[in-house]
Amino acid sequence: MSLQVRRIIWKDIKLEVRNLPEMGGAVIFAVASSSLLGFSLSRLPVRDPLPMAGTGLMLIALFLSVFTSVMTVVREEDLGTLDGVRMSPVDPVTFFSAKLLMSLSLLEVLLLVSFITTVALSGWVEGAPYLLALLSSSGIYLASISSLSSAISVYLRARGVLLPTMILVLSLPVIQEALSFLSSPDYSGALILALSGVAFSLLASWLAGYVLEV
Amino acid sequence: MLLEFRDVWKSFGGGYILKGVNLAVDRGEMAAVVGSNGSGKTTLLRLASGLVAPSRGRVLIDGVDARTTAAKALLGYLPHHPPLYGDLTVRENLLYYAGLYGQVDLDGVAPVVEDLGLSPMMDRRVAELSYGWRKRVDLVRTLIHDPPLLLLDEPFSGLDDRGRGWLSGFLAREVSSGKAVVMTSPRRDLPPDRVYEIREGSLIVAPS
Repeated sequence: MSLQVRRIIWKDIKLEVRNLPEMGGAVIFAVASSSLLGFSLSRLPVRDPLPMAGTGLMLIALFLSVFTSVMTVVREEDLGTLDGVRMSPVDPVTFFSAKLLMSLSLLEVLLLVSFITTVALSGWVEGAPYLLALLSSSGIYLASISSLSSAISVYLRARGVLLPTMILVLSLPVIQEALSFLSSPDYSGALILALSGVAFSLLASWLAGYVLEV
Repeated sequence: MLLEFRDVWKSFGGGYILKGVNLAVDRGEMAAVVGSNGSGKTTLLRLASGLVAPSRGRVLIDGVDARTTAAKALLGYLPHHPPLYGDLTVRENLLYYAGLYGQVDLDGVAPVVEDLGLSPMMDRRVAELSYGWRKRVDLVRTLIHDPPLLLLDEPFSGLDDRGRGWLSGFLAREVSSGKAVVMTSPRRDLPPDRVYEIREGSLIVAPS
């Protein structure tokens, strides 16, 4: 990992730690929404909880990817620090890759928190490891969409509305694909999602190079 | 030529703010651009730093397009609004930017930090600092990779007498050591080699 990427991630981690309302809000959302899901799973007479838990957690993941989008590229624009990166000899693809790695880490942590809360409150175990694999691999795709949308929204005035809308529209294929894998639990579904996520992250990095270039 | 504008025009959707600007600044030269508010002084520096693209014409740094990473490695740009993170300390901000320029530490700018009186401020968060101190931190950021071309947007604004005095002497030393300096100013703070004025989008040599 290059010095530039390491320093961008190091800086973002420090900003996250010191910006408790933002990260804290995302954690509270993850815990609260997955508590509701776990509570529902424990009380409703569901024979196979996997489809319901999977659908609920994928929707939570969608919301969380909107939160992480606000914490990546567009935040630099809001802080007035994007120019600091643009005037330095950092390639836009390198900058985006660092942001994508940070976004992926945040999203995976938040997804893990949501998953643990759901499982703990519902007491449901069978099929849970498969769902965790599915969620984690979807996270790659969602983090790419989140970061790319964040980069595009730097140029948008109505980003408050357009950013979540963009993420929702771009996420539809991966959410549909993930939900279709819930009906036939086998780990090849998670592998397909992970591979398509990696492929999309490469495409997103390439596109972001153009988006962030002057 | 270290910095070259070749028939540069710039529009932000309306009329042209810069019209056919030609400018050449080489190593060991200092040029100042003066003009009224909104005349295009900052736009000229943002074009030179590769932050915006010209609508027409070319901006070259040492012969390469100003928007390339190779060109950006050669320049230090001090904008009017410091691009610093308020939640990070002065040291963390400088280490972050040093990393972007491939520098692992701040040893290269230690004398500048000392001269500007920033040593006691290094572990304070930037958000706690006044505009004048943030401007000094940003000045260190601009110099962090020892660039041969300095682009300074109103560098004396926000500085006290000590800071102004230090900066005047520092710039004179930098130019005599072979660096090129282009700065904007609402008035003439220094006697540079050349003073230009932007009038109605055109760059002209200002009358002495």
